[in-house]
Amino acid sequence: MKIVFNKFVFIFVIFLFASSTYAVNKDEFHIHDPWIREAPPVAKVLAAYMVIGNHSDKPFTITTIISPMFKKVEIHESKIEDGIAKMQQIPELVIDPQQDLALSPGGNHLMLFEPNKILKHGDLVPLKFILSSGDSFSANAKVKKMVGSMKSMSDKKDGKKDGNEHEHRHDH
Amino acid sequence: MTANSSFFKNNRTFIAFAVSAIIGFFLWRVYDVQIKDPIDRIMLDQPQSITPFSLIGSNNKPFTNEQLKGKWTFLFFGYTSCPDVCPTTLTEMATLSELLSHSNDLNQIQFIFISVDPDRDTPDHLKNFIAYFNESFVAATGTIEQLNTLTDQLSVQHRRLKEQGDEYLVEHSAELLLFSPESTLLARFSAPHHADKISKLFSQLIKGYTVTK
Repeated sequence: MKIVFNKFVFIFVIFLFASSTYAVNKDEFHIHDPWIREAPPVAKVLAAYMVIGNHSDKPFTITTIISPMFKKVEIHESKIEDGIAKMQQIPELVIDPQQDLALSPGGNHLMLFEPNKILKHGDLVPLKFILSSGDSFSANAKVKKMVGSMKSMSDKKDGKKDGNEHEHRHDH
Repeated sequence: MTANSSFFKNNRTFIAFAVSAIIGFFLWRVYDVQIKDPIDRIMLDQPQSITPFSLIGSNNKPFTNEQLKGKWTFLFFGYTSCPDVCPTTLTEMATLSELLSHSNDLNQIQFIFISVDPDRDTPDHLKNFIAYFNESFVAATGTIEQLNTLTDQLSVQHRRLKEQGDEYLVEHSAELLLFSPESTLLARFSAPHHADKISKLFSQLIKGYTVTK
């Protein structure tokens, strides 16, 4: 019995060691300019956009995103097919090694369900990204009012940044 | 070699025709994509009259053909539980309204959002939703049958997808439609929409419209 226990501890220690060697370094995973489009106060869903950078040599898979300010967060893809706006949930986001993945209006985005308060321009919304490796990262997305700014959404698609600072944390 | 020569000799007319057809097709594609005036790509060949329809406006009053008369109308179909394409388009429409206000009388132009999700988008909900984008924007909806009376003749599609719990998505045409003050459909702008481009095309279009009217 004692031998079996020791074996178990040994395997467990090996497992811990193995998982720690595969942990994602915080310098390897970046969330750039995360933002949420301010929506009408009655809106039940919002969308978040950002650029996710993978600065490592292995792919990252984001499986889950959570936010204390929303009932649920899903990864969605919008596309226009034969003039029809279609949207579907996608189970995970894979960011290839040394690549950036853009979530932008009219394309991939995070669909944020049922905010627990009305979000206004300038508010910061914590988002937690959980990877298939078990690692998680946090970033604060800034709520931006796009209406009335005379700023076309096409500017956003071109990846223009407005220099907003965002908090970026690595959680274990 | 001899066989080849005789083939070309015997089929000279056919080859000449085939080569011309290929060149012609190529030039037509280049013309269509590169040279053709963008205004011709959005304009209908003939303005399309709209047969009577009856919806309910966000002011809880009937919304019919009458609401399209006397003003230039930009019309978009969508739904409020759409987080990406619809608010992106409505934001562009708000920007378009601002751009057009520089050189047009905004009393002559209206912006309408019609929800194809009547179960969730009640007139009161629509009223609060649309006002965020611009106080002057108008919204309407109706039963699926009432909506179809309008969307079928406009070749606008909308389809509710299978529910996931109490949530569901709606697929819908993403075009922005432009109606004349005589309430005829004049042009269709395809997505993605860019307010500055639409603004320029509209200015060009209304100049031509006054001349040909």
